[in-house]
Formats: sequence, structure tokens, C-alpha cells
Amino acid sequence: MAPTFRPYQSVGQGLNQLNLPQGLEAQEAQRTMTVLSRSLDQMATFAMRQAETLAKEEGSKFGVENAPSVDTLTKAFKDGRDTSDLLEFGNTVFGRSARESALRVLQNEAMVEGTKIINDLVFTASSNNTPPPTLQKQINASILGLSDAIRASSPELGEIIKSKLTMQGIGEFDRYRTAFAKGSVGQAGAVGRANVNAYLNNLPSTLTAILSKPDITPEVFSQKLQDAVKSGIVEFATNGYAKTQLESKINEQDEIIKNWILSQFTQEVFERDITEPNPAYTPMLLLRQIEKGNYVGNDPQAKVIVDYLNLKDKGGVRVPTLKELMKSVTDNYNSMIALENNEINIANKRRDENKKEQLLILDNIFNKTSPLTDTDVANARTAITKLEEMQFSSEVDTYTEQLETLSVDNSFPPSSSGDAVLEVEALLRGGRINFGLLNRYRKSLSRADYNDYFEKTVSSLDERVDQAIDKIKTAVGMDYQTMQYGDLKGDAKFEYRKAQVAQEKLLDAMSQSRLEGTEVNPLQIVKSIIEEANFQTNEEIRKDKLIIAMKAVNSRIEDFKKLAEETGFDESTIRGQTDEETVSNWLAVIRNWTDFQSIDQVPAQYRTPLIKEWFRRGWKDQIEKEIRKMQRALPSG
Amino acid sequence: MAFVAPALTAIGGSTAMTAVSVGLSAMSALGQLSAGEKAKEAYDQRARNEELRGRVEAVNAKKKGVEVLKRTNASLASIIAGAGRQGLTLRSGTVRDREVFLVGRPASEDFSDTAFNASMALMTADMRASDLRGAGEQARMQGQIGAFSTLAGAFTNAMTIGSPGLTQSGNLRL
Repeated sequence: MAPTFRPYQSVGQGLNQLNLPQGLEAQEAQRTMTVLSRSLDQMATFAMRQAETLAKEEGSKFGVENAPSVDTLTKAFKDGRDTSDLLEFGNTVFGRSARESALRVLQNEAMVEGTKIINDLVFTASSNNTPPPTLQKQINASILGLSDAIRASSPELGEIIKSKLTMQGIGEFDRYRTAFAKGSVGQAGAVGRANVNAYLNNLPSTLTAILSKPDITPEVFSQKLQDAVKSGIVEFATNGYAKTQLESKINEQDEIIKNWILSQFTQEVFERDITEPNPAYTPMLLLRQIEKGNYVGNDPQAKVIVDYLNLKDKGGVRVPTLKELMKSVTDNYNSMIALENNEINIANKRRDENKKEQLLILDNIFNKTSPLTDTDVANARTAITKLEEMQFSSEVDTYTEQLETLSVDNSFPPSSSGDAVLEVEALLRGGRINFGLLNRYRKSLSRADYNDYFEKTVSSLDERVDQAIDKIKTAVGMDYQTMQYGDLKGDAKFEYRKAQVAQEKLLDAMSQSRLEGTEVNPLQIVKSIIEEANFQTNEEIRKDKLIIAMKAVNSRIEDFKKLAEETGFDESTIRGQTDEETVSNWLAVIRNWTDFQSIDQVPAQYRTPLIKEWFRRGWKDQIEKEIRKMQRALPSG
Repeated sequence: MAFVAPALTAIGGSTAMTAVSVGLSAMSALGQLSAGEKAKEAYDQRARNEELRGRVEAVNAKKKGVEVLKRTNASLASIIAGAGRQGLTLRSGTVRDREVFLVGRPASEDFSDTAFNASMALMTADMRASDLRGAGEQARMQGQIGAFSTLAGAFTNAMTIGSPGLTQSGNLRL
């Protein structure tokens, strides 16, 4: 069997499914970055922990170095200053650590200071035999003073300090109270105290009596002082004073004697010398000599004191040194000078107050917005007189000058009323001001303002008069002020004269208004003046011109009609319903004739003898004159 | 690694416990390095397998191509042989149509598919292998980073513990 055609059999192979990468590298890279990030986080956390530790150490050091002292806080508290931020170092690790260490330092210092104060108080109380309740109050007050000063900056530390020092204070107070009860502190009775006080109070007068004896010498004075000191000690001892209390009274007596010597010399004796007219005893000379141990004055008691101070043996009495004596005299002298200066200052101050009072009276008077009354003038004169007595000549001159002006002519107030100024300004702005209206405000405007507004009123009226004159010029139809009467002809002369008369009427009215202070409005009165003048109006002039023009046109028409049979002229081509129309028609005919060169150019119906005559006289001038004549007769001009 | 020298100095002056801690951390770091290397080896092995599998697929596709050519030859031979009996000249239009539309076109489509499959098998295998090798590199890097982090933590901790003679140098100088 012969082979037959066998078509191609497909192997059935299509495109395989693609087996692409699954992105494992990217997944691993993600894990890598996660690991790296975690590692860096751990390292950063470690570094921050280290930095925090360092900040704590630095803050602690800073707090110690910058902690405020107890003295600073106490002083600030006394001065009433705000110390709430003294222990604020910021809300950071550094700041918190600094605050903690500063508080520790402050606590230690406050405890040391408080302990010292309590010990001092107890010691002083023991020395002065202070009653226990008084000491207790002193201790409590001291503790509160310290703790309150700290409480302003740190309330918790204030409380701690207060409680600790209170505990300590209680212990010290208890020991003192026990000792006081056992009598280890010296005591004096009420009677003894009174005796000693009376003795000490009388001591200065006793010493003055000794110094005032006529036969007193430095040596005798020294002996008497020693006796006084000894009798004082006996007085103290016999009145129950012992140990530290006695020592205290002896010191008090020594101090009284020393102060007596100083005061006796300065206030009672030395005053005689500095008031002495003799220039040799000037204060400076006396002071220098006292420092050297010399007394050059005339007072015998002062001399005894200085000589006594120059003695080598003063018998154990505590006396001032020469330098102290000189200083005391100087201080006394300075204080007297200061007192004198104060008196002068006070006098000046009173003088200034009085001046202000008088100036206020004057200002109130001169600021009035109505004319001054007789009472005002009298009060002002009284105030000026007082200023003169106090020698304020500048103010006296100023106010006297003002008063004289106002009292001579008191029709003007010293100051302008605000309302009046506003109203006058409004009238000026509106162009309505005049002499009559301005006079209405005379009592409400100061002289200066009135004069100013008067000038402005004149200017305003001048402007309006110029406008009124312009109206006259318009009415008369000519600028008559720039014209010469001789150059005018016919009616114009008559109109010129009428205009001059109208202007004179206007100016007369203005002058009268200014003279009598009456109201006037130039723009208003010019209307009646123009009416009275009865100026010829432009329309009337035109109508006159129309009559003249019509005469001419009628003459021309008559001439044309004479030639009508030959030329066929029709009158209706020129003659209109009105005169204006007739003139207008004739003007329309001749308007373009100006450039004609010969009579042949003129239409045949118009070749009248007169027209031909115009060619002989000069065509252009004649025809233009005719055209102007026609134009003047028409409303369009 | 600038911190290693002072850290080693610090360890030299530290207690035995500190030294033991640092030693253990060093071993941990070595372990992490080794783990990374092993992971990389595993990925490399998978990459090689993928390349081999790709070549096998390519050979199979080529074999299919040979089969296509064989069937084409047989069909063309049947056209030539049957033409005379059917009264057709070899250059006639009918014979040409059979050669082109019934044999040439479907055969060439089959052959191009097999050739495409072979080339894509090789290319995709190469891509997968490359991906796996990249993943291996990343795994090794993870091990290195972990080891570095462990060592750095251990040394810095050891430095902060301190010991006489180092952190107290100021006092000793006095």
C-alpha cells in the first residue's frame, strides 16, 4: 500500500511553569538588620546608663559647690526676697542630684549654725541671770528664724532643721532651767535692783556736781571719780549682785562714767566755745588741739577734764581716750550741722509746697474759659503776692503780666472754650463765617484765638467778595476791571458804569459789616445788587444782533426778488418759519463763498448789484463780515 | 576594636569572676560566628542543588526538541511519497500548503517552546542559586554582628566594674 500523507503530530509540549527565586536573601537581610538594631540598642542603653551615672556624680559635686549658705538664706528672708528658686537646679538627673547634695550641705551648715546660736543664748542667759521662760522664747525664736529662712527654699529641709534644733534646744533649755532652779546663777532682789538703778541714774548728776566745784583740780577730780567708782561697787554688792551679775553692773557703771565725760565735754562745755565770737576758737582749731591733748578754750570745766585725761594715773577709772573725745565732739558738731540742714530742707520743702498751692490757684484762674470776674482777679493778685513774698520772682513776673492783660480788658476769657473753637472752625471750613457770626463767640474765645479767627474771617470774606465780583463780571458780560472806559462804545459804556456801581455797593456792604460787626454774605447780597443794576443779558444782546441781521437778510431777499424773473429765485429757499431759521438759511448759503474768485462763481439768482459791489470792495472781507453778522444773531453764537 | 586593649588591661587587673565572665562571652561570640558560617554553607549547598536541577530540566527540554524534529521529518517524507499517487507534482500548490500549514508551522511552534523551556530552566536555576548564596552571606554577617555585640558588651561591662590601681589612679598618685 502506497504511503499516504501523515500530518505533523504535536509532542504536546507547552511553556513550563517558571520556578523563580523566593527572596531568601532579602529575608536574611531583614534578620541581619534586626540583629544589628538590637545590638546597637543594647550599646546605646549601656552608654546612657553610664552617662546617667556621670551626671549624678557631676550634679552631686555641683550641688556641694553651689549650695546657698545659711547666711544668704537668712539675709534674703529678712529682706523679704523670694528664695524659692535658690535650690532649684532643674528637673534632670544632674539637677536632682545637685539639689540632693546641696540640701545635705545646707542641712549640715544649718545644724552647726543653730547649735552655735543656742549655745550663745544659753551662755548669755547664764551671764545675765535671764529667767528660763525668756531663754526658752529666745531659743524658739532663733530656731524659727533659721528654719523659716530655709523653709522658703526647701519646706522639707526647714521642717527637718526645725525638729532637730528643737530637740537640741529642749535639752539645753532643760539643763539651764535646772541650774537656775538650783541657784547657781546669782540673783538680786527687787528692792536691791531698784536701789542700784537709782544709784546709776543719779551718777551723772553726782559727777557734774563734783566737776562744778569752784576749787576743782585735775588731781582732786581724779580722786573723786575713784571714790565714786568704789561706792558704786559697794552699792551693787550690798544689794545682792554677785559673780557675773556684779561684773555686769560694774561694767555698766564704767560705761556711764565714760559717757558722762564725753557728753559733759561736748554738749555742756564745748558749746560755749563754738558759739564764742572769738575767731581763735573756731571748731576746727579746737578739735585739732583736743586731739593733741590741749584745750585752748575758756571753759574751766573743760580744761579740768582735758587735764585729767592727760594724767598718767587715773586710779583705775575707765575714761575715754583723747581721740574718742575729739570724735565725740566732731560727731556732736556734725549732728548739729545736720539738724540745721534738715531744718533748712524742711523749710524749703514747705516753701515749695506753698508755691505749688499758689500756682495751682493761678492756673485754675488762667485756665478758665469765661472772662475773669473781679473775685478771680483779686484771688490771682493775692496768690501772686504770696509768691512774691516767697521770692519766686520769675513766676511773679509771668503771672503778673498775664493778669494785667486780662484785668484791663476782661471781655476775653483766658482760654478758649473747646465747643466755641469747634463751631468757629466748622464755620470757617464751610465758608459761612462773617463778622457778625464771629462776634457771637467773642466771649468764648481767648484774645489770641479771637484775633486769629478774625484774620481768617477777613481772608474768607475776601475770597467770597472776589467770587461775587466774578458774578458781576458774568452778569455784565465783560471783565470790566481790565477794560478802559474810553475804549468802550455805545451801550458797553453804560454797562461798564453799572458794573462799577454794583461793585462799590458790594464793597460798601462789606465795610459796613466789619465796622458794625453784623452778619453779611457777599455771595447772597451780590444777587440783589445784580438785579438792581439790571444788566443787559447775553440773550438780549443776541436778539438785538438778530434784528440787525434780519434787516440785512431782508434787504438781500428784496434784491434777489428783483432779479427773480430772470433767475427764478424762490424766496422760500431762504425765508424760514422764524427769524433765526431765516438767518440760518442765509448763513448756510454764503458759508462756503469765502474762497470765490469771481462773480461767476456766485449762483446766478444771487448776483445782485450789492454782491457785485462786494467783489470790487474786497470779496473776502465783505463776505466774512456778512457771515460773522449772521453768526452773532444765532443762539450758537 | 579600640576598646579591646584597655578592656584587656582592665581584665588583667580584675577579679577571677570578671575574667570568667569575659571568657564565657568570648566563647559565645565564637559560637555565633560558627553558627553563621554553618548557615552560609547550608545555603551554598542548596544553591548548588538548584543549579544542577536547572541543568536537568534544560536537558529534558532539549530532548523534547529532538522529538519534534523527528516528527517533522516523518511528516515531510509522507507528503513527498504520497504526492505522485495522488497525481500531484512536488512543486504544486497543494504540496506547498501541506508543507507549510500542516507541518512547518506547528513543528516550529513546538520547537521554539522546547528551546525556551531549556533556556529558562538554566536562567531561573542560576537566579535561585544566586539568591541562596546571598542569603548565606547575610546569615554569616548575622553571626559576626552577634559576636561583635557580645564581645563589646562583655568588655565594656568589665571596664565599668573596675579594680584597685585603675579607677583609683588619682588617689594612688597622691
